[in-house]
Amino acid sequence: MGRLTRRDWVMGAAALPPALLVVTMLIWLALACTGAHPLWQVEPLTLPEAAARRDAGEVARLLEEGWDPNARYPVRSGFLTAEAVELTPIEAARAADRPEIELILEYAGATPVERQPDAEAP
Amino acid sequence: MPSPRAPVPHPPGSAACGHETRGYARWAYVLAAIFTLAFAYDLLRLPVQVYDALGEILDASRSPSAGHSFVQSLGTAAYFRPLRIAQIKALFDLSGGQYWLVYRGFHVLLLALCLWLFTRALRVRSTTDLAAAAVALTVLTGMSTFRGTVLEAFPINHFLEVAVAALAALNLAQSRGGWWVDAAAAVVFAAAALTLESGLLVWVVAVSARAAGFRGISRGGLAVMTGLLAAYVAVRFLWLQTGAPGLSERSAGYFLSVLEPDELVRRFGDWPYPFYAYNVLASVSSVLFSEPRSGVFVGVRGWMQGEFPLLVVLALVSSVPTTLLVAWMLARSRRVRGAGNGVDTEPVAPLGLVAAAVIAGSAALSYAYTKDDIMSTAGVFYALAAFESLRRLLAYASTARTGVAVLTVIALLVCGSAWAIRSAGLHHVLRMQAFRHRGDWAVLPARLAAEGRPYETAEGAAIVRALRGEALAMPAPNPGSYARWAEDVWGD
Repeated sequence: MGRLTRRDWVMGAAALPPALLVVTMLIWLALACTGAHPLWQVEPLTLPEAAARRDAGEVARLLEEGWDPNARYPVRSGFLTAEAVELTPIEAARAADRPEIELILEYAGATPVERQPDAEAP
Repeated sequence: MPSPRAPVPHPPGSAACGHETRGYARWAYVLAAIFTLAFAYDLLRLPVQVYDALGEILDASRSPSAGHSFVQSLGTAAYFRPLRIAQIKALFDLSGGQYWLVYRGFHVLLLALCLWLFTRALRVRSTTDLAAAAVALTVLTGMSTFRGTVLEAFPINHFLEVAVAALAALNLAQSRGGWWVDAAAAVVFAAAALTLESGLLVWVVAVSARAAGFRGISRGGLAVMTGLLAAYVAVRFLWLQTGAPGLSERSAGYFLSVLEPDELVRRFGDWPYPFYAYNVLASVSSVLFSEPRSGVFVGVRGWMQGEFPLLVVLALVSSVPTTLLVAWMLARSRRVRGAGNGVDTEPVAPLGLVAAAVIAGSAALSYAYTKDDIMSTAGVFYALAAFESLRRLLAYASTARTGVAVLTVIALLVCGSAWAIRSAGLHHVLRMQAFRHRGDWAVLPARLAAEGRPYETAEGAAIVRALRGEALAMPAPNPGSYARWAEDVWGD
């Protein structure tokens, strides 16, 4: 192999960043074919976890799937507190200060936090 | 009668035309296809948006025909965009209830057209061209003005439509000409102008392209387009008396903050010209230096608050050298032309000259308020100018002294990397947008109920249900699961 010329260096410097970007996009597209696109990975959430993460879309989807807006579900550690807890979705939304999520939950039949006799918002 | 067949200007040093050069062009199209596929994947995970789109779709459902929508929208107070409404209606009728598929599919089609026409306009004929084209695609998709072409759709992204129309006009101007080229240019101009005010830029492209040496659109063709422009002005301002957007229309960025309409009227109601001048200059700067963003100097504001986000650093590191390079090329172009050495009729920077005209024209159209979206066509032409400048720089640096070559290599690596990171960031911003759109649909019924605003008709309720169902069925990654650095580097 011959030595790299000045022209090779200049062309290479220009082409390298876009080439890396193109390779990255090709990898993303290849992974997308197997449902593993790294930017579009969706973490499964319980209803109160979705509420705590202000994920209105996921809250609405889970409600339409039949999740009970008044039931307690597990919330993994790190979502609201350092420890794993069990909360109703509306308690989680209140703890995360997400009024629009509370609105969705109440529209779906959840009892507002104020009217829950044993409410324990963390 | 066919127009004069002038050769397409191409700088010296490029490979001659021939079948061996078509391979480079093919590779450029392959690159454009990869960019298209990568963004198309993101776009196809985006629900139709609620704001600025649902109302239009419901209006379309109530309209008896696209023609009726066209005529009805002629009487609006500040805007003259009849074809915009007619298109929304036409796609609505085409959808057969598959709203997301048709509107988002059309968005992807426009994006593909944009990148194809952009690549075609580059006229790639050599390895130098191919390297410059790869960078140009990165610049195009990394610019903040490009975000406006993919992030939103109302439910059609009309800014992207105008960019496609402007690129189509440039490609026609670069062609060998003929009556059909003139006819197509006139049709493209009429369609773009009736879709959005920015569509008038198609005329700017055609005129400046001819001045820059692209002779595909003949003088007669330009005369027809100018006649159509005169007709547009007469119909809009004299016959229909459609005004222009006033200060009270919307909020607008001004130096370090966003001013609400009341504040705009209070400060500039009596003498709006300083505000208009600011908008024009801010619009130019937003393309050349990626600052301000929609009128607000985000970087300066951050710096005054003691922080300088990586996002802003990347924008400056990529934009400033690129703009300096384009300016250098344009200055050199003027010098060569002024030398009277026989190349006066073939400027060395035709794309740069067209880009300068489009940026100036876009900025003038943004006088009432500045927005990145409005400058999206200008951003596309800026990337074309960047291609042309880079091609020249690569040719120059390949034979320059060692010191100059080393500096060029370092500058190319730093600046190119910054553009590549910005381009990759658009994928991140799109997933964030998907999350937002989905959330907007999720809360809509509860919000309407809370505000006591029922659906007007059963058909409207059914459309909302269908669109909402489509949106909820499209999972979007939660921002809580993103890597922490993503927002610092790419913003939201």
